[in-house]
Order: sequence, then structure tokens, then C-alpha cells
Amino acid sequence: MKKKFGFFLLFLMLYYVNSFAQDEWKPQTHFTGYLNSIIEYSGHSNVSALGVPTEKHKGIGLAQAGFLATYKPLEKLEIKSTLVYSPWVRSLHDVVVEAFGQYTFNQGFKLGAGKFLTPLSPSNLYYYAPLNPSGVLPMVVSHHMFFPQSVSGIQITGSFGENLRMNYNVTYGNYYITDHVEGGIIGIQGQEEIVPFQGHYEVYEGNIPKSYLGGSGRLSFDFKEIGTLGLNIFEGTESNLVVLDAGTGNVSSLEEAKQRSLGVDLHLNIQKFKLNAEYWNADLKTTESVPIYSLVYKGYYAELIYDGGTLKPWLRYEYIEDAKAVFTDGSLVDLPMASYSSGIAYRPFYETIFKFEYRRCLVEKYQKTSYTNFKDYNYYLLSFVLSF
Amino acid sequence: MRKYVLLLMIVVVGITVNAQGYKVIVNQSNSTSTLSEDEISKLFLKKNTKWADGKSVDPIDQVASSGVRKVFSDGVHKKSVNAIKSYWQQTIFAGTGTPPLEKSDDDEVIKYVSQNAGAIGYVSAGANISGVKELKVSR
Repeated sequence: MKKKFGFFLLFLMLYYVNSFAQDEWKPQTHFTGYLNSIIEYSGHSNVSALGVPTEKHKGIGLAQAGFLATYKPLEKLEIKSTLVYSPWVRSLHDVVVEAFGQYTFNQGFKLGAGKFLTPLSPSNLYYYAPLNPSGVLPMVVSHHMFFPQSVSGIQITGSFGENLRMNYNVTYGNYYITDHVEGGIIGIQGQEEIVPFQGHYEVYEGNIPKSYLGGSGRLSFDFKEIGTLGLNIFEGTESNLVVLDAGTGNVSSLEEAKQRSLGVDLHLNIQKFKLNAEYWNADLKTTESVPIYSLVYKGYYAELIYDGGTLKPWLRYEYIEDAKAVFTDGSLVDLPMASYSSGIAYRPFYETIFKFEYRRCLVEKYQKTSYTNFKDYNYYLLSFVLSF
Repeated sequence: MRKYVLLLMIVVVGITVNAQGYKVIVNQSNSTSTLSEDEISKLFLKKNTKWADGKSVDPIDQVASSGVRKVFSDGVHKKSVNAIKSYWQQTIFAGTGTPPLEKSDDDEVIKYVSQNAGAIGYVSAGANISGVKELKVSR
């Protein structure tokens, strides 16, 4: 009797909860997406992912196509998926940049499961072409040496406060490394060094990239409309470090390693100007090799954007030293570089954005290796983005 | 001279009438009576999500092609409809928010607001708003 009454009570509760939800909430669906076609030219004479000098200076074509869908069947439940194609994707794993479900218990506690864009740098979360006046991501993000583009696992996030808002995010799960993966058409975006580089790169087993285990944490503070300060950490608890053969330069071994990256980012809104800046430092150390190998990465950038409505001119400076590798004899490859860039984005309609930018890549001053033909070089990009 | 004064009066009256070519409406059960343009903007951008009594705010937009949305966007957000759409595109991609529901005309907005306690919408200045409550908008 008691059991029957319990079932009846449960049924009644579910009925009322469900009825209430139906009155207050209608499922919502959003679709958005874009096509990014570019024309690019580079003065870089050695553009090639394989390290073989080519005459591939210019390119024209579709650099990226993205499609995003969100579905909210309940007020507190959201399902989101974003697919991004580029000529450099190697498998479906690269195309699905995020696909997750998130349940909002309250603003201070949201629980999600699936694949997430690593929520450490706003530039990583906002990397889609319609959202940026520049067509090239800052190297601290595009190189993926400080943190991977996506993490697949569990995420807890939330925010507190009104005028001074504190936001937190913890994500833990599997990730795979796509460091210095090429972008654009000719493949110089993400491979700006004169010597094509891959550091602690991923290893495919058949069509499946090897996964590592790690997690990220971010604490950020929004100061009303003035700006945001973010503190970030990424721990690759199971990562790898590539050891190169001192004689041939080929990969000698992949050693178990741990990575810890620390970053700080600042975003200020001053009237119509927006200042974005990030600083990152990472430490990658083998855990089982004899001897122990370790590498330290560093990178930063600052950019100033003027929001003139349909026109957004901008300036950026960046410096990075993440193209590092260790040889079996203990010596290092070290290819730091810097760049100045400037451009303008013109958005006459919501659906259409034209971008033009110029970039000066500085390698001559920084990259001291046995290569002799190091020259600073120019890069030009004309981008046409259609979005809906 | 009188002609010029009359002309000036017509211009001033015209500007005043056009200064707010929209009405902001809420459900009749809503106790709020006045909001500033900045407060309304924050409600529609979902930066403030609660009414004073703790009820959830449910903003309702009009479709992007409607004339009243342009007037509302220019007047309240101080930004173009395209700029607001870009803002929502950014929040959708970043997963930080979704835009308000859109209704195709004044009647639909009025109907929705009359049926939902936390709703807030805007309609043309000449719309018949019986069944809902008009908010006074301060600057």
C-alpha cells in the first residue's frame, strides 16, 4: 500500500513538474555558421609542412567553414555542437570542435559532458571567423602548445555576482595534441617559423589520434563593462615530449611527460577601444626517461581594436618561443619569433565581413640555427566571411 | 516671425514624438513601473536576468527586419540591429548565452507578454496595448 502511494506521489510530482515546465518553456533551437574564403600571400620561401622548401607563396580558396547548432529542450538543459572544416583537418576528430550537453543547476553551478573548446583563452572560445576582426589567431592560441584546442570529458562552470562578477571553469578529460597545425590555404598560419615545426605532436593510430589526459582551470573577473581579468592553468597529466635523434634529426622517441601551463589574460574596454592581452608560460618535463628532458615555452600578445561600427581597424604585437625540441645529446632546437600585424574588418551587413591585414614576421633576429637563409617576411591576407 | 516659431514648434514636437517610437511593455502582474534605457538594454542583452521580485526576465525581440526593432535598438542599446546580432552571434559561438525569442509583429509580442509573467517586450508607439502594462522609460 505504502509502495503504491509512493508511486502515486512520484507520478503526481512528475506530472506537475512537467506541466509547469511546459507552461514556462518552449524548446529553442539556434543555428549559425559561416564560410571563410581567403586570398593570401607570403614572402616566406620555405612554406611547407614537410620541411621541403617550395614556391608556395600564394593561395586562394575556402579556409574554413563552420556550422553551429544549439538546442534547449528545457530551460536548464542545452545541447551544443560545432563543426569546423578547414583544408588541414585530418579526420572527423578535428572537425568536431565541440559537442556537449550542459545542465544549469543555477548560475553558480553548471555541469556539462562532451567535447569542449578548452575554455582558457577567449581567443580560443571566439576563434570562429565572424567573431574576430583579424583572420589570423594569436600564436599562443593557434600553436596549441600551451593548451589543446579542445578537451573531451566533464566540465563544471558557473559565475557569481553582478557588478563584479566572478566566473570559474574546470574541465577535465582526454585531449589530443594538434600543435602547430597549419591554417589558411598555404599552411603558414600556425607554422610561422621558417623551419616547419611540430613539437610534442600527436600520434595517430590508424585514423584515431592518440589521447592524453589532462585538465584546465580558469578563474576570471568581469568588472562591469570595463573589462575582464582571467587566470588560467592547464595540466597535461599524461602528455608526451618528442626526442629527436642528434645525428639525423628524425624522431627518436616519444617520452611520457607532464605539462603545466599558466596564463593570464586581460581585456579592457575604453570607450570604443578594446585591448586584449595574454601572457603564457609552460613547462614540459619527461617523467620516465633517463635523462629527464624538459622544455619551457613562453608567449604573449597584445592587440588594440577600434570598434567603429561597420569598420574595425586593429593592431597586434606578439612574441612566442614554443618551437622547441630536444635532441638525444641534450641539445635544443629553439625557434622564437615575433610579429607585428595590422588590419581592418568591414562589416556592411551582418552576413558579410571583409578583412584585410598585413603582417611582418620577425625571425632573423631570433632564430639562431644552422640555417642561413633566415629573413623576416611579409604576409598579406584578404578574407571574405559570409555568416548567417 | 510667427511662422518660424510655429515651424520650430512643429519640429520640436516632431522630434519629441519620434524620440521614442516604441513602447516597452511588461506583464500586468509586474510591479515595475519605470526603467532607464540602460536597464532595459541589460534586460534584453540578458546581462540582468531577474526582476526586483526575483522572477526571471523573459525578453522578447521583434524580427530583425521590423522597423520598431531598429528604433528600439538605436534608442535603447545605442547600437545598430546588426551590432546586436553580432553580439548574439558571439555569445552563441562562445556558449555564454542565447538571444531572446523573436516575434514577427506587435500583436504577437503583446500576446506573449500578456501570457508570461516575466516577459518584457517592445511594440510600435501606436500599438494597442490593452492586456499588458507599459513601462515608463527614463534616460
